Amino acid sequence: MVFLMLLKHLMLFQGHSNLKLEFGSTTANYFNGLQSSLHKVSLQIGEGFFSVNEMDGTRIKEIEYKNIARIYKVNEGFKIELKTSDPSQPAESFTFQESTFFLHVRKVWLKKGSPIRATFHAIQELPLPKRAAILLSSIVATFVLFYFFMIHLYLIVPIEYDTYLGKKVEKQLNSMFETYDSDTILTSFLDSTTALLHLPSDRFDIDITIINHPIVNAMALPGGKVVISTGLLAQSESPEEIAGIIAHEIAHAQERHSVQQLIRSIGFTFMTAVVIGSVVEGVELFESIELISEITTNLLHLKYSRGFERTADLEAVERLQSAHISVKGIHSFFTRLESQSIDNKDDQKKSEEVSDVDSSSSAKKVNPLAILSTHPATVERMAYLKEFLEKETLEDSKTELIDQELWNQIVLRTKEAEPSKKIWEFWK
Amino acid sequence: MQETTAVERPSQKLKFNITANGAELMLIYLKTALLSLVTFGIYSFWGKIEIAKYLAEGTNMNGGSFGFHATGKEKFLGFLKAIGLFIIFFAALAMIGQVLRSVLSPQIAESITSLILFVSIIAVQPIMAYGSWRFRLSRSSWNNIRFRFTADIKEFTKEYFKGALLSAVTLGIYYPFFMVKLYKMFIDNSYLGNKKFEYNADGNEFFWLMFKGIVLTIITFGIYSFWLNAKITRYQIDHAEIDGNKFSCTINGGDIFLISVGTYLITVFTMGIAFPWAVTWAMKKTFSTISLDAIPSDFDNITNVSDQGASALSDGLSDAAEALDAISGAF
Repeated sequence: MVFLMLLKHLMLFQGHSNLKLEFGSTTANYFNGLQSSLHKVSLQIGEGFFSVNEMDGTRIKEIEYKNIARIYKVNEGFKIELKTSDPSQPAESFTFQESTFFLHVRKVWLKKGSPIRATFHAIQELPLPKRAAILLSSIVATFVLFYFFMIHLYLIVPIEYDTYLGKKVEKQLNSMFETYDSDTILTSFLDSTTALLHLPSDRFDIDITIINHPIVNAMALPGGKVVISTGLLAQSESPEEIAGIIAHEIAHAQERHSVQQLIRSIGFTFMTAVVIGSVVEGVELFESIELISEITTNLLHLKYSRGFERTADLEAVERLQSAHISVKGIHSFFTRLESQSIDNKDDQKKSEEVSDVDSSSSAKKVNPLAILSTHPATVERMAYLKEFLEKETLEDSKTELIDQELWNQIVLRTKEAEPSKKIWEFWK
Repeated sequence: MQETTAVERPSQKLKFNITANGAELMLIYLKTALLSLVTFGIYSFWGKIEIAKYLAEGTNMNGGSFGFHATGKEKFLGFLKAIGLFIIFFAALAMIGQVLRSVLSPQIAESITSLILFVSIIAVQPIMAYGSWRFRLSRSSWNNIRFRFTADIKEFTKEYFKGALLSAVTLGIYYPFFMVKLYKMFIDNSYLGNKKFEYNADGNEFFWLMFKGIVLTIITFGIYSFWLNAKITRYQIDHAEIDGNKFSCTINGGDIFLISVGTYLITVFTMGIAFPWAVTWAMKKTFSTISLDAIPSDFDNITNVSDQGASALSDGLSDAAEALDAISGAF
């Protein structure tokens, strides 16, 4: 019986090279890493290895599964590539066409290898749409995790960084704008208002600077500096309006919105650069580092998200209420800004029509009030400010910030203020 | 008895066949993007190798696939070594600067250190070009046989500087001659196993081809550039051969225009999603115009010769230079 079995195996190994062998074996073209000519051999699956034999059955060698580097489909069938310690040396390989042999060897190879490799291979065997779905959902999940990580990352950034950043930006501002020479009345008003708006939880001391420029705007720098333009003061109709704007900007500074926005911008830039740069030659990953520096130095261009604006509005109301300053001021200021913005667009539209008709006209008419979109007077914003205003009592608005006569003097002086030198109009 | 499989010898010209497809390539891109994201870019070294491997294995000629055998690990290590070299170089330059400032005026000291930096950057160019070509060739194969590059680096560098200097001094007139010499150095010293490539272009011919092409490009406000590009490509490929068998190329200006504009439009209008399909389409279009007279004689007995001296350091220098350039730009 044993003799007959042995005879059967011998007969199977002899004969024509095209004979299909039993399961667990196949014929293959063997590349020995040296000669281009391929050597026809038979491969036989064993326990922990597969054997390489001449076509007459003579054993050449045994190869352990752990020495397999890759096993994959190729144009001409399937290929087993062995490991090589030196990538400059060609690896030995076997090319064959028997799919059952391929599946069996790969199954054993994956079983003996790491679970990570087995998982990747399992995914690779799925139909293309399923693979694409798994990859895409993994990428979306990664982006979501990254996003949550980024929005909380500012918590581990030291407060001192805000101060450092604020000084850097202040230096830029000082090179572009001249400081307004405020008198004691204005200085006293700003100091007292800032003190009234202080909350015990505040991280930074607030310092207000006025720049001499007709643009209507205010901004908070990281670290507690608030910048207001003479244009804003000139346009105001009450000290409560300015108090409301200051409260809003203080909220931005105390909540560290600049640093949060910076981290998000850098994070998104980096993620985009990694995703594109990792696959496309010529779109270099490292360019993201330079982009990050550009974002940092151009902090002035960063616009707060709507979420930050809403947070700042709500906190501003809280500060105003705690100081018993009327919310009416901030509400009326934004209402007026919005109507002027509409007028501005109408004027611009009219001037465009004029210039279409009369092409010799040298320039379009431009409203001097160039309102920045960093503080859009949105419908939602005015709606929730109005809500607070409607609930306001006399108690809530009992604080008199400054005598009206003195206020009028401040406004008049700022209206007459003109920058003494030509300055690059940064905000236009 | 040993049986060997002889390589088939077709009677017609050998053409390339691209089996790589956009869908599979897209999945490799997605996997690379995902893993690069979670590893803050480190995986990109492995990812780019996988992409190159896939595209090489998806290209075949006469039934034999090309292969790319570099590893992400050696690319990454090459990058790290290069970063190390740059750090040492800039530290040394800073020390030299300090010493010069102590004996000379600050302006002169700064000028000298800037000059040292400039000369170093120029000097390293041919070394990087040499190293990169040698590495990529040593890791590439066709039908399991590795390519290799055997030029002597000193000769290469000498010819490179001579050509670059003459081109600068002649305001570009010598440039076509330099290009022919440079390609000759690259190709004449390239092998497939022990079979030699050769390049037999003529500097004069190439000069007039470029001259006419540039004039026509200027006259046509750049439109002729696609046709000039095609002429240059055809000229270079038609003058290359391996073991006496010539390559030939039939690409024309319309093909170049279609590939350039088509790839751009496909990518832009799909916001990058169809980029892998654009890549494989461009490969198919390009390679369909290239053919080889016949495979080298006695191909069955070509001996594989490995190039152990090739390393990923040059590629690493290129990546590291970009990284450091970006970091210095940041400050």
